[in-house]
Formats: sequence, C-alpha cells, structure tokens
Amino acid sequence: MLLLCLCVSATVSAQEINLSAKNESLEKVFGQLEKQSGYTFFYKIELIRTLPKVSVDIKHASLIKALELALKDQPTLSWSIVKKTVVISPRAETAPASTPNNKSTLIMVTGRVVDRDGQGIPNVSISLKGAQYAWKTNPDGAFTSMIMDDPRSQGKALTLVFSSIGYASKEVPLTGKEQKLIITLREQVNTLDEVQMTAYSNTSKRFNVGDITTVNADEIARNPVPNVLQALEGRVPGMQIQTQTGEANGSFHVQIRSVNTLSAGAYNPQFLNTGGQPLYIVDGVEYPADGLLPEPNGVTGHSFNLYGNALNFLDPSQFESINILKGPDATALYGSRGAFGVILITTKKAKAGNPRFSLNVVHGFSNLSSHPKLMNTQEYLQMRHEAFANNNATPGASDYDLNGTWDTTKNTDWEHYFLGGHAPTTRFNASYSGGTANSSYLISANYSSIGNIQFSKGAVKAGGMNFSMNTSTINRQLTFGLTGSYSTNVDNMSPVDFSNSAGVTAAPDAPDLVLPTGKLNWNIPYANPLQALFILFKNTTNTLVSNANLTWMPVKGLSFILSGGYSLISAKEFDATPIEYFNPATFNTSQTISLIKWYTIRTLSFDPRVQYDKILFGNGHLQAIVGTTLRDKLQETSAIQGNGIANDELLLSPANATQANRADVYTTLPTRYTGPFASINFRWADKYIVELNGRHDGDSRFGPGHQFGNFWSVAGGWIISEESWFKPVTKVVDFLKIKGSVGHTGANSLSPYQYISTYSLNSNSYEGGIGLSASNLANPYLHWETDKNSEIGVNIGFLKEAINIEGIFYFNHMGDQLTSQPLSGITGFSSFFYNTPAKIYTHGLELTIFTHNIRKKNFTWDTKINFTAPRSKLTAYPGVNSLVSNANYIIGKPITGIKLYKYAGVDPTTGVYNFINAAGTKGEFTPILSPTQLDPIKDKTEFIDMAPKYYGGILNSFTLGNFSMDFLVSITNKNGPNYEGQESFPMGVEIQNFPADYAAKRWRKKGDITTVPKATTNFLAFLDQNNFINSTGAYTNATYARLQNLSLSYRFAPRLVHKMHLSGLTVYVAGQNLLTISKYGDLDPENMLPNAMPPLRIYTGGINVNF
Amino acid sequence: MSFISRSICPILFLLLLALGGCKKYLDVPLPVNVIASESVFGNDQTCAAALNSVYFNLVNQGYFAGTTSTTFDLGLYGDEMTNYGININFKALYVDAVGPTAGGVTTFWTSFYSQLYGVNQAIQGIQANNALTYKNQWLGEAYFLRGLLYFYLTSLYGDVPIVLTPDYLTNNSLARNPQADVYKQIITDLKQAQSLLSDQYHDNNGAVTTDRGRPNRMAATALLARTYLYTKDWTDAEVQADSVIADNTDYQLPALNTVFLMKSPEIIWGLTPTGSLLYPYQVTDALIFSPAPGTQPGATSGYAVTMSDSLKNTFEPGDLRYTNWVYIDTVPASGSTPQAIYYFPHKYQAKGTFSAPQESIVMFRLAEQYLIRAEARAQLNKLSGSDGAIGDINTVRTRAGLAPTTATLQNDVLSAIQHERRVELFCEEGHRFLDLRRTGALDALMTTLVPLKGGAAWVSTMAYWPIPVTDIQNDPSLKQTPGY
Repeated sequence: MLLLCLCVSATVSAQEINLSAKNESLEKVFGQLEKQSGYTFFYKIELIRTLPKVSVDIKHASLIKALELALKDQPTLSWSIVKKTVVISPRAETAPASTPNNKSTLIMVTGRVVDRDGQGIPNVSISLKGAQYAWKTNPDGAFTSMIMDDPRSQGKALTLVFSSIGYASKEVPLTGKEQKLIITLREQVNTLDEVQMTAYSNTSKRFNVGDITTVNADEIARNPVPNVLQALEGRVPGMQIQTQTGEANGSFHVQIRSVNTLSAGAYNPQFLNTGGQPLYIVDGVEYPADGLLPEPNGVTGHSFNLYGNALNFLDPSQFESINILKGPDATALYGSRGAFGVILITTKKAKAGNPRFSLNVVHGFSNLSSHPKLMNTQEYLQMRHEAFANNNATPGASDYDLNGTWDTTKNTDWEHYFLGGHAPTTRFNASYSGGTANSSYLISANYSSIGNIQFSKGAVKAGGMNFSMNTSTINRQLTFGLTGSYSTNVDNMSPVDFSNSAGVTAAPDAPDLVLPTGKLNWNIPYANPLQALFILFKNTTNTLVSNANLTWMPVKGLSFILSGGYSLISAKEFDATPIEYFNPATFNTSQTISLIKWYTIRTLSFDPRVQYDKILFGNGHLQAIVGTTLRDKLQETSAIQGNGIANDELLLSPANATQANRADVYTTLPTRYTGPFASINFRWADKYIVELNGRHDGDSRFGPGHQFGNFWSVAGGWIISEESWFKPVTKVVDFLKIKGSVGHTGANSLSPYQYISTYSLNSNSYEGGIGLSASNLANPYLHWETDKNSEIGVNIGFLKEAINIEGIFYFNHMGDQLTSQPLSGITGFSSFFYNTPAKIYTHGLELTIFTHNIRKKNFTWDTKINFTAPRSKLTAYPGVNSLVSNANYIIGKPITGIKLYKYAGVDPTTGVYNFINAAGTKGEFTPILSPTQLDPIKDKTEFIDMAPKYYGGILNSFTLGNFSMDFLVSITNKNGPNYEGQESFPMGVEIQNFPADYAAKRWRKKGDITTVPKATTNFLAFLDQNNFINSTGAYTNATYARLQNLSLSYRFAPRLVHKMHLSGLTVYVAGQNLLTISKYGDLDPENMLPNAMPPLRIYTGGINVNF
Repeated sequence: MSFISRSICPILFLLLLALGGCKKYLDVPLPVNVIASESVFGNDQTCAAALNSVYFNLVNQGYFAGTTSTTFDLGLYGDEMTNYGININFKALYVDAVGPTAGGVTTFWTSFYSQLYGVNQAIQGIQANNALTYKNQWLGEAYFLRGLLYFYLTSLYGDVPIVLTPDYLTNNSLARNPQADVYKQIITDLKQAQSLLSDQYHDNNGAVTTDRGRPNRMAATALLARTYLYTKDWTDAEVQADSVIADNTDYQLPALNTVFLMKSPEIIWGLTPTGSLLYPYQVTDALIFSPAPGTQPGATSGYAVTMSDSLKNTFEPGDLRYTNWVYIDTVPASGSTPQAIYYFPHKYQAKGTFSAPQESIVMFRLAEQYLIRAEARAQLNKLSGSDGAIGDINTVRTRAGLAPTTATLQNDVLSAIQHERRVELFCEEGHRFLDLRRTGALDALMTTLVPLKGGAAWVSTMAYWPIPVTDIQNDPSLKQTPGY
C-alpha cells in the first residue's frame, strides 16, 4: 500500500546549493537540501534510517546535481521531482504512475481543505487510514494525492483522514478512480492547546502556570458593538466591565479582580476611577484606555459620554485576540504597570496563503433598553394635588402644572419624545491578505456609523485602515513584521443626554418645546432642553497604533528581538454656543462661547530582548528571555476659548473673539518608565513547570531615590495526569494540573510629580503681570505601593476533555497605599499624597467550566461558564474614621462599601421617612427641625458593600449543520443606589415626574404601610430626603441577569459557495443587551445612573463574504 | 550572516539592555505649565508673579467685592443690608443663622489660609535670594499681605492659628492663637513691611508707577493705624494715621464722585479688578447693586440685597454721600403690589465691559485715616484745636457738604465719629460690623435687630464665625469657634 501525496505548488527557479557534510545521516542531508532549495522531500523514514551515513561536498550546484551527488552511493534509492517535491523511493519499488504493480490501481485525488469560511487550511495532515504516513496541504489548503490501491485491500473502501491541530479530523471514503474533493474542517480547538499570549511570548492552556483568559476574534465578532470592552462583558472571569452610558463613544468601568487600592479615591460603581486600572497593551505598545480622556466635553458643562474611553477609537474587527492577564505570574513582566491586570490586545496579522478578500457588512439599529415608566398626566396631577392637600396649601403662581398655565389635558411621554428613537448602526469591514511563507501581507479597512436614539442631531462616524506585513529571509534567520492602524472617529452628535431631569422627567402636561412656528418655546419656567440641539459640536479623534518587530535568529533557539511601538491619539473638539442656543429675552452677546480644544497622547515604547529556547537533556524545555522596556509618554492639551462673538459664522473660530475675551491654555504631562527584566521558564517532561520573572522598574512619577523598585514572581505547575501512576484514572480524568505563583510588585496609581512642589502659571494675572501659584504640596518620600500577590489554580479535564474546569484562588496584600491625606485648610491645601500604612487584603475565586455537551457530526452544543467571587477587606488603617475622607472605612470590611443610617420605612401616621438610630430609637430625625437628629458618624450603623459579590457569564454555542447559534447570559450580584436614592427632593416638591410604579406605592393616608413617603410641597422635605439618601433605603440589591449577546448565523455550504465563485458566505443576525431580569427597579442595573442613558439594546443583521 | 553582524548585533543588544537600568532616562522635564518651587523666586518677574497670584485671588475669589465679600456678608449679618433673595446663604446670613455649613462663612478661612501658604512661600523664597533688584519691594508686599490676611482672619474668626511657614506637616497640628497674639503678629509684619517698602508705588516689573494696585509703605502704615485702633493703642494709631495724612502731596480728599476711580488721590491701596470674561475689569459691586430700573429685588442672586432702612435713615439731610453713593430705584405699583422704593449702595458705578479698569476695589483710603486719627485723638481726649478730633471729623464732613459737627464732649465726639464712620464707610468691607464689635456696641444692637430680621435670639458668641468642620477633623488641636 502506498500513498503518494504531492503538494501542488508553483515551480520555483532552481536554487544554488552548497552543502558540505561528513558522515551525516541521509535524513540530515535531505533536511539541508530541503532548507536550501525550498523543495519538499518525500520519503519513508524507515527506508533511509538504516542506510549508511554519507559524505558529500556540493558547491554551487543545482538541486538535480546535488541529488545526484548525494545519492550516488545509494543503489537502493531512486528519486524523482514532481512539481516542488522530491520523491525518494526504493529503486525496486519505484513505481511510475503508468506502470501499476501487482495489478494495483492508481487513484488520483486532488482537492482543497478549507475551513468553514472557505479559507484554505495549510499543513493539514492527510493520511490513508491504516497506513502510517501522512502528508500535508500547501499554504492554500490544496493537495494532490496518488494512491496505489493494493490488491490486499480489495473490497475494503479506502479512507482518507484529514487532521490538523485546531480542527476536528475528518474521514473521507474514496469512491471513484479520480476524485476532486473539497473538504471542510470544523474548528475544534482542544481547549488545552489554545494559544495564550503572555508578556513577551506565548503559551498554551496546558503549560500556562499563570492566570490568562483568551477571547479570540470569533467571539468578539459576534458582538455588534463599537467598543471591544462591550464584547468582553460577561466573558472573562476576574474582570468586571460596566458600560457607563448608552451614548456612543461612552466610558466604561473596568475592574480586574478585587478593588485593592485607595489611590482610586472613594469607590463608587457609578463613577469612573482613574486609579487602579488595568494596563492596556495593543500590539506591544501601551494604549491609554486606562483613564479618562483629557477632554471634559465642552463649555456647556455636559459630560454626555462621561469622558469616553480610548478603545472607542479602535475597531474591534481588527483584533485577532484579547488576552486578559491577571495575577503574579502573568503580570510580573509588566512590573508596576501590571499591578492591576493587563489587557493584551493583538491585532490581526498577515498570514501566508493565496490572496483572499473578505467583506463584512452589518446593518441594524439600537434603541433604549430599560427605562422607568413615568406617571401620565392624570396620575401626575393627582400626585401633585395630593402633595398640596398634604400640606394644606394651594398651588401658587409658580405651580404652572396645576394653576391653569399649562394645559392639564395634555399628556406627553417625554421619555418617548427624547429617547424613543431607533438609531441606525452600520458597520463595514473589508480585508485583503495573502503571501508566501517568507512574505505576507494584510490590509483592511473599516467604517462604522452609529446614530442617536435621542431627539437630537448628528452621529458618530468612524473609519480606518490597518495593515500588517511580515517578511523574512529564505532561511528565516531574520524576520521583520510591521503592523499599523490609523483611524478617525468623528462625533458630531448634539452634546446632550436628555436622560436627566430637564428632559425626561418634565411634567407630562408641560408645554411643547417647539412652537408651531418651528422656534423653540422659551415661555417655560426652565431652560428649554432642546437648546442643546443648537450647540455646534464636533469631535474628531485620530488614532494611530503601530508596531515594528525585527527578529534575528542566528542559531536555532536564540533570537534577538527588537520591537518598538508607537501610539498616538490626537483629538480636536469644537464646541460653541451660538445665539439660537440662548433665550432671546435674556440674551447678551457676551454669553456666546466658542471653544476649541486639542489633545494628544503619544506613547513610544521600545522593548529589545533576547530569547533563548533550548531542549535540555531530551526532556527539558528551557525558555529564557532577557530584555528591557523603555516607555515615553507625553500628553499635551491646548485650548482656545473666545466669548462674546455675536456672529454665528465668526463663532466657528474662538480666535475671532477680541483679545480681552479670549483665553488660551497649553499643558503637557510627560512621563517615562524603564525596566530591565528577565524571565526563565523551564519545563521537564511536560510534567513539571517552573517560571521565574524579575523586573527592575523605574518610573519618573516618583522623586529621586524612590524611582526604582525590584519586582518578581515565582510560579510552578505540575501536570499530574502525565505521571505514570495516574494512568489508571485517565479514562475519567484525562488532564490534571495544579499551579501556583507568588509575586511581589508595586503599584503607582497617582498623578505624576507629586514628589516635587510646583507652581503653575495660570490665568491669575494681576495688572497685566503673570501669576504663578502653588499647585501642590510636595511629598518627596512617595514610593511604590507594595503588592504581595499569590494564587493557586487547578485545571481538570474529564472524559476526553468533554469537561474542562479551571479554578483559581487569588490572594493579595496591598500595603503602602498611595492616597491623598486630607489636611486642615490652615496649611493652605486640603490634601497631599502620601503612602499610608493602610493595608488591604483581597482574595477571590475565578472559575471557568467548558463543556462539550454534544459532539455529533451535524450537531454540537458547547457551554462555557465563568464565575468570579471577588472579596476584599481593609486590614489596617491608622486613624480610620477620624476624617470625612475615611469615614466609610471599617477594618475588616471592603473599602467599596458605604456606611448608612438604618432605614425604617415610612411612618404610617405622618407619611415621612423613619430611621433607626444607633440607640435603637425609631424616628423621623429631620435635620434642624426635629428635637433629636441623626449623627452622621455614630448613627450610621449599617454598611452596604457596592462591589459585586459575584459575577459571571454562561455562553452556550450550538451548531446544527450550517447553522450556528451562540448566546451569552451575564449575571452580576451587587448592591447599588436606587432611583429615589438619587433624587434631592421627594415627590411633589418640584414640577417633576417620577416613575409610576414608585409613585403608586406612596403613603396616602394614616395607617398606610409603605416605603415611599407622602407627596409633599414643603421645600424643607429635602432635609428628610437627605437623611434618606444616606440610609439603607437609598440602596437596593441590583442583581441582574442579562442576555448580553445572541447571534445566529448560517454558512452556505462550500459547494454552493464555490459555484458562486466565492470561497465563503455567511449571513447572520446578532443582538446585544436583549433582555434584563432584575428586581432592582426603575434604573438600568448596569450603569445605575438616572442622568445617563442606560446601555442600549442593539439588533443587527450582516453578511460576510470571502472571495 | 556575515562576521560583522554576528558579533556586532549581540553587543548592540547588550547596550540596549543596559539602557533600561539607566537613571538618566528618567530625567523628565516637568510639565510645561508648572515650574519647580525653587525656581519661582529666582528673579524679579517670577517673584512678582507669585504675589500677583495672591492679589488675583483676593480680587477674583470675590472676598472683597461681590456676593461673597466682607462687604456683602458682614452687611447682611449686621445692620447694613436687607435681603430679598432666596439664596440660602443670603438667608442664613441675614437671619444670623450661620454655621459651619450654612451661610458660606467658612470660605474666607479656607481661601485666606490658602493665600497665606503662597505668602509664606514668598517670604521664605524672596528672603533667600539676594540677587533680586526689587527684593525689598517684593518682601515688603509679602509681609503686608500677611498682615492683611491675618487682620481679616482675626476680624472674622477671632482667635486664629498663626501660620508663618509653608511647612504643611507642622502647620497641620497648630492650634488657635489668642487674638492679642494675632494682632502682635500683624503689627510685627506691618512694621517689617514699612521698613522694606518705599513711599512710591511700583508695578509688577518693579518700576515706579502712579497706579495704586500694589501696596507701598503708606498702605502698610494705613493698616497699622487700623490695627492699633482695633487694639486700642490710641497713641500709635494716631502716629500712624498722622503719617499718612501728612503726606498731602500724594493723598487728598477729592470730590465724592471720584473717590473710587483708579488713580483717585484718596486711595492708599486698592485691588485692581480683573473682572470676568463676560465683564472684564468690572468691580462686581457695580453689577450686583444696580438692578435694571423698576426691577423688584428678589429671586435672582445679584440684585436681591438692598441697603437697610436704618442705614438709609442714618444720612443727615444734605449729605452729598447720600446723593453720590446711593442708588434709588422706584418699582412702580403692579396689581395689588404698591409702589416701592429700594436703596442700593452705589460707590462702584462703572458697569459693563471695559478694556481697562475704571474703578479700584478700595481697601484703604484717606477718609478712614482721618477718622482713625479722630478716634485716637478723641480717646486721648484731644478734642479740639489743630491736633483735635473735631477737626478731622469736620474735614470728612466738609467734603460731604455738611456743616461742622456740633459735638464737643468726648463721648459725643466719639459717637459723632462712629456716625461719621457709618455713613462714610458704609458697605465697604464690613467696617460697620467690625466697628460695632470693637466698640462694644454689637450685642445690644443685634439683640434687638436679629428678631426683627426674622432670626432667633442673638448670642454674643455669634460675633465671630465658625470654621470648616473638616479642618477641625484634620487638625485635632484646632477647635471650633465657641458657640458653634
């Protein structure tokens, strides 16, 4: 039985061969010839192993000549060249296709192996079932096999087996003499062999001893969202992501593991922290997604997208994979920068293969997901009248909603009016790639447009291009890779979020905001919210991320790598309020404002390193990396503001204002970081793994003498299932690894240059002279927070890896907490930064369960569950509770909590809030007015933690024939402030609507037992409300389950697709944030903000074509 | 690979790796918008700039003009103003129900101590630099400013901690010093200022100017005279006031309608307004006390406060100060509301957008010095004659178009001086309230007045204001003002 598999390739001109060998095995000689010629050698290993060693000296020879020389002493061998393959065969058995031996028949099989997208898969191993030898497909997935059917197998069908790492293998019985096959392999990554990126290398789940979660392009692509963080929500154990607003280009709250630093300031899940944020690395270069963008969104004071997030500017379609690095081992090589986790983003890279073009078009819309249903006019007026009755008062001249000024038969659903729109969303991306083994390329382009669900103008439009190229010398000693991406994001949406009271909660009988003439109605007692539509606003952000990588491998296993990256975000925001913005009755020319702001954030990083891979003593695998990082970051901002420009056309430039009405700003923030590092990973017999990482970090944000710190980690792993004594149980447990690591790092989440006392030049000019004022108090002793980290983990695979479980427990002690220490005002400042001896202990569990529930030929069902339970507690804080700034801290409790009064419902006789004080007395305790009042320190007896108790996600994936379906349900258990807890006045005081379900529960008459107080018109009710806001009543369990993502796709069968001259065709529908189940109440349990739009619901449909 | 690349590349690599440990790499320039404190007092221009910032804050944070000023807050708290507004700070001040969080009265404390940090830094920095051309001028200004800030701190809060260095860790544990010690410190600082400053005015380049926006020796003298008056050191008060009045080439009493104008010869020192982007160079008082004609004072924050009836009624018939410095607004009857007349202080009148300052926020003027000398002399029982109190009173009255005072006995003369101070210095940096308190007349007056204003009972500890609660928490030696 003989299988000949000939890889089909273009002919390459003859190579010049130089080979000098003395007493070398033929295998080695062939290997050399293979390398130099680029031809594939094809032979049975048994055929040549037994042959004597040869000595040759070949100079400037062609391949043919070289073969003649090399085989001149081998009488048993013959050779032939077919296309780019050299076939070595035994002389006796040499069987040209035309002369069948022993009545054997020759079957010629040609074909191509493709993936489900129709893309050819290179290096697929093809073997004849029962035979020993395997051959491979070419870079485009094509193959040609000639099979001699042995008479001994007569009657039995011949079966070809196609297999490749990462794909389910497939058996194809041969039927005819000549066959042309298109074989589709289904991706089936053995979870253990999934590639995971580490700081400067990569590993697999099997051998990784740290904590890394990998999310790949396929999973990202299923989420029809503009920011990749939204696609990660609910998918990553140990990482909680919270969308802060439904506005496009909005911000995100990201927390890896437990909150363990005071440097971020008081914890509030509703607002963004600027400290304690993970490090974002895009293709090796730091990307500033870890903080607020230096852009306060304009003069009108609106923060409609809550300061944004830099990842809004990178299209998720260009990402190949995202690796979230947590814990000591995974993050140690990032030193102090990685103390709060690392998010490693890798963009799609060039891949060898025939040129291919891929196009993806998505269209859909988004709308408001959760929203409180407010009272209608009838209910609203009843509530207001009741409020007056409760106070024995009658509506006065300013009670327009009741006194007849407004039409009380009118009923406007303001929420529908302002936020009821359907925002169209279009996404488009195209890529073209291909190349040879030594030179490959990828170019791609993307465009997206996101509308606005609000009664508003404008859209966010973004577009960009990215490319990747790889090139190497023939012998692959020197390789060079370059990637780059440039994109532009243009946001000209009206800078307003109507979710706040001026818009949505206006009285339902409030007059129309637009007069029949089309002009704004200014005859209302508040500023017309639609004035925002006249703001001239345009933000253009350009983003460049690029990376170059040069590797020189002089000998196998030793590489010198130079890699450098550059990222630049540069933005310009124009914001102006023209005359139409203002109420003409009170307009004064000087009110007009024109403002242009610029900022750039430029990061340069350079990572030269040497890597050494070596097999030691046969069973040992050593990888050592020594290198250094240099990082230079510069943020620049500038602005020009001009006031009092009366002409709308002149308003387009603030420079048109007179000198006296103009103000300019220019600031810079340079920082540098450096750190040599070393990493050693040693693996013995694929059983025992030890990894050591060390780093010497220096950061310019600290002062002389405190800039450098030494950080390290030690990790180990033991793959127990590889032990021979474990074999008896491998039928059930086929993989078992335990791993652990300890590390010591530092953190530096504080604004730079606090070590030196500085003066800043500001607008404090006096009589024409410049003004300099002290900008901070210096603390030259500031130094790193100390972070002692450890974790232990286990990976178990059951039943042929049908069930994979990974569990990690982490423990962390963070000391020397950098925090701002409040000072008495007599020092001239309110605080200064210092390293408090406070200590925080955090620990937690991260669990991932991946099961292949059903693995049938036409039906598969996989489930992936992740679960995280983060815990934290303050273990030491000298002087805790002595100050307002640390009043909420309790030793032994998390720093993410808040101390509150105990809420006792509404007094059944008076309809006013009741509280229970520390002495256990129940009462109203109205500030100022009541005889006894609540003490803001002593009477706050309750404690509510706002950090999640647990969170996770359940992802189910099904395939049925060509259909596939995925849905992800995320679950979060937490507490949060409720709607009424964020109102300054109770119902009735102001002309303001409230949620209908909340209003329906209000106290109406003596004896009512409820938690909602009576409607009142008494202005002083804000005093009671203020107690309420600081009580347990203002907080609710905000646990929710959300159908985060659902996608359904259909791939057309390859045969059909080929008829259309395509290589792949998929149509799909996807939805985001489709359903939320929660008892939280009227607000969205994710962002919990009454004045910012909740995360939107998105529906899309798309088509993906590959040519 | 050739021999060269085989050997050079690894060496190059080792060099690159060595870069990582390099300390020099971390020598990053500071952000362009800040400079290190050590370099601030390096030359004359930056010394002036550091002081400019203090002047700017005194003007722009609104503590001497506007609705958060000593004029406004002490006016409402005492008997000079009537509140019609709904602003809760205005209300709390008017009914004398201020607290650490009510009335906005703690902001002076925070701001003035914040300026003191800058001033203490300046004194330390300027003293250390002998290369400065105008060292005495800058140092003198800094000492003067320290005296001024402590004068208002002790005037508002009584006993206050004396902070003389920028060492925040030490300062954060200071306790209050008795008011007498604070006055001693003020006098020491002002004597220093007198010895350093010249009689000429200087601009921020150190050049001599006619502009009176930076203090000179006479400014220090004027404040010293006032401080001696407050400490009842009548002899020294007379000496100091006398030395200002003696300089009659520089200081005169001009016509009433020019007193507050820039370069008025009456001004000893005034802050030059910077205004806002909307109203450049305007003194905020001009805006808040002049409503559009016929506007009912009320809801909006600015025009909500008028002169009190008692103040209006204090003016003698024919007093030119009434005709020049009071704005009368008649609001016609509408519906059931009858016609009403409101009186506003109108010392500052230039309202609008200007390209140069028109009026100065007058901090010290000659008329006050006449009245200080008068009071000192009266207390020393020097009543008539060329060095008598009556002469000084009459100098002020003559300018106001009034006949000489009829008082002759010491007590009557002292009362006449208080009357004259009330109508001369009305609605100017809280003189009236501070005068009532230092002459011991406060409790009696407020006990009757507070209930009339709609407040609860007056308690004598209410003469001084509370300080921020957080400051007491952050500095355990610091105690709240008695009574709060």
